[in-house]
Amino acid sequence: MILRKEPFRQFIFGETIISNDPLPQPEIEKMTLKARELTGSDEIPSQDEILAVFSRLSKAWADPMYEKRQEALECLSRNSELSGEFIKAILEEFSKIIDPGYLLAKIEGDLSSAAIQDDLVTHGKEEGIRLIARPAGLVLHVASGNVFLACIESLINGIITKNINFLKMSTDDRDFPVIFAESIREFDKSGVISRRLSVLWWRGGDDGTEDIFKRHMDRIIFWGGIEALKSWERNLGPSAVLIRHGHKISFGVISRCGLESAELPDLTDNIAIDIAMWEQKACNCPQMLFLEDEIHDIDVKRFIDSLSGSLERVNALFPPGRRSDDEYVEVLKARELARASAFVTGKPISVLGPKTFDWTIIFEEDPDRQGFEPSPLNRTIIIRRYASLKALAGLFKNYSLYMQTAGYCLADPEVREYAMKLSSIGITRLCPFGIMAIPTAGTPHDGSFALRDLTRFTVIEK
Amino acid sequence: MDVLAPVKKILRERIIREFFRTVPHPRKNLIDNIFTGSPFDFSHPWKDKFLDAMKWSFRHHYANSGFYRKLCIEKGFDGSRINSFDDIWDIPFVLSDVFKMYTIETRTPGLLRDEMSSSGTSGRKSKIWLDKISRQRLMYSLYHVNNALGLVGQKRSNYFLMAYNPALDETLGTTTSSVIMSYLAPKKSVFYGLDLDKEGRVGFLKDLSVEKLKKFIDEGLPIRMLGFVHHICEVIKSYSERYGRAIFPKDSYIISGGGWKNAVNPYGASFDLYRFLAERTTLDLKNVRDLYTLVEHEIFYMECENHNKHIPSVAIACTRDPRTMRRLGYGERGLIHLYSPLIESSPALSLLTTDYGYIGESCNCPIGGSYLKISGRAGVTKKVTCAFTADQYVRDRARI
Repeated sequence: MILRKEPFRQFIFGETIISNDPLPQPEIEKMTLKARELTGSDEIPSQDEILAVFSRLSKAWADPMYEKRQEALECLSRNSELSGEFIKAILEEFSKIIDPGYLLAKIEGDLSSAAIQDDLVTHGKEEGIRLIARPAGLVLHVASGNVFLACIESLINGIITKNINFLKMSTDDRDFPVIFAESIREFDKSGVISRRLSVLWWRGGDDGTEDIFKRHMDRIIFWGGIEALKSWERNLGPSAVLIRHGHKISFGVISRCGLESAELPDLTDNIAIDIAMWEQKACNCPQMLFLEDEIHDIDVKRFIDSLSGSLERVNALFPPGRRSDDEYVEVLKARELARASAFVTGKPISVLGPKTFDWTIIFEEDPDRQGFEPSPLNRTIIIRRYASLKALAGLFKNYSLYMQTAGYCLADPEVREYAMKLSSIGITRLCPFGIMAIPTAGTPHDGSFALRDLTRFTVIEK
Repeated sequence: MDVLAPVKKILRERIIREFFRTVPHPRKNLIDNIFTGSPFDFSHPWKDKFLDAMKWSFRHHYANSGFYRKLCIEKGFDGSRINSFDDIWDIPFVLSDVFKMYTIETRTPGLLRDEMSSSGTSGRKSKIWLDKISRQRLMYSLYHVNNALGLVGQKRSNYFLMAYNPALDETLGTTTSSVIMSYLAPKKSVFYGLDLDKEGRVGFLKDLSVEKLKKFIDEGLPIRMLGFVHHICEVIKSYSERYGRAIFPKDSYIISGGGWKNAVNPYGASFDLYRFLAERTTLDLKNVRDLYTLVEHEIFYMECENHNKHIPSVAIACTRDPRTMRRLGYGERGLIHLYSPLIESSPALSLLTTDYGYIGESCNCPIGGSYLKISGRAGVTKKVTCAFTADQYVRDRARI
């Protein structure tokens, strides 16, 4: 990406600075040393103080006319590839994920107690054992460009666990994190959060700058693709723990019993939403759907027709975002190769979708067509059949490292069986369709509790 | 081991030499009428002849390729709509990547089953079968295109091929192209830079190549350096570091092609081949030509002295907007779409490539006419995303 050299904002411990270039390395070194001093002071804010700021913040962001929300909408519409309608919808929901009630549920869910960050809390049934959760220390959040909210949520996790936070902005979005930080400052008169927070940008792969963070941080929360991840894995300092949220794949599974008990239009609307969210670029969006072999062909056809209609409806509500030529070509290739496969092998493959490439369904009816195959994203869903749960699990045996969410449409008694099998091969979340990209507060992400990654527990034994 | 391989090789060379000596005009059907006096003659009635040839070609592939017929039926196209020259643009395309996945043939009498493979620079190789007449047409076209562009010489030359030694695998398209190109001037000797190393592994023999280039330069005969640009650049770079500027004998050429798009990255996005060569060699830059061709559509889009890749009269080309597939005008960047009736044994008459470029309307070289400018391969800029992507899958599948 060729970046235009134009002034951009950074946020350093409560101050906004505007410059053409990233901070020089000596400045960053000084900043991290200052942050380290802060961890040793007695200024750790209480949970109530932090949540009080979020309470004011949440009310402000709930108002569509709030100045910072409008600025965010304008900047994201300009910088992000997502459609304006989708960004508006996300901002509409944003106040909910910074609501103190939501955050408290997250703390309680992740750390098992709402009070554990401020006081000693009895651990389990052993009365003599008490725990307290303390911040990990200095945390760097490395943002990816595909889901602008992921780094903000990560930052919020860092804040509510009382850490000193740095956020490295993605080149694709150098505005929203700063706008959010400035908004925090607005409602944080005593600076309990904003004086412990920095939002920075430098070009990814700048070894000099990144080495400083690798040396000084206690946690590095990484969001993004494999190449950047490899770079962050190199030369980590002795205190730095790298939390990887790298490239993952999600899929959906529909059993015969599940389909029979579902309301078809609702089901396919939910699947279409999961497919359209973040243009499928989030790790928890489905790239493939697996339909049980036992589902009768007529029901499969009804399902595909209904899904087509749902994708079209979602398309009308949330038009596709801006795509690069390369992304269009990837979808074109997937469509043409699927058609070619059908013509060459004589085995039925349906390719559905408008000529504008807004969405694509590739349904490979051939039962021999096994395995999983990532989609080219951008609302492209590959649908295959599976013979049994065992066979389905077998498809992923070499890919457990990359597995994430399985959306499901199963009969209630099947859920346990599927959960037992799929969790054993690396799936870290099962959820009904419609919320694949909207995890519930206080639940683990990528197999672990985010807040636990950002804290260290002290155990007090009698 | 094929004990007849050396004999086959000699025969193949003799066939090619014979081709170029006699340059037979293919005469089989309406397709062959498009071969006029010059490979760049678009004067009347070229359009009519080209239309007739494409109609014939369409009917042939529709009737004899199940694959292509099904594709056309799905796209609602049966050929009855090809009535004017402009209707040719509507002939359903096959995406070039399809040939990387499947070997698709059209039933043709006299199919030689002469397999051609691409270099596989994008990770997958294309493979097609050629019948006798298609091969003859391609050869005929190739010779005349090169002749018109001044690349057929009379002086004995040393051939420096940055291509796989055909003894390793004669089906590699780039190799075959390079081998054919090595008949454009009388041959003193031939060197292959991609061959078996001392350990018996196939690879780029860089040091040996540098020394061979030195020997050829000292010998003073014209040198024809052909093949992968990246390897050519590597040899020139190492040569200049070792021996200073490479003083190429008069009438030397560099004709590059294949393996360019991804491999050149080590030199950076702003790499300028001509500046690179001007700084390190004495070559007349007019004698540096890049060739664009695909194994599934082996028409030669060879550069003229202005470094424009001319479209010969056996083909037409346009660019398409990847978002809408709309045909774009001159100078508008899009996916390169090539049309040619020459090949009967494979349904590549309308081939949509995954290369970006544009069509220039009129070159001011003596040949004139429209030309291609290639600007890179589509789909190579990967978005940074936390979703597991197809390219990652391909890499991992190779690992597992």
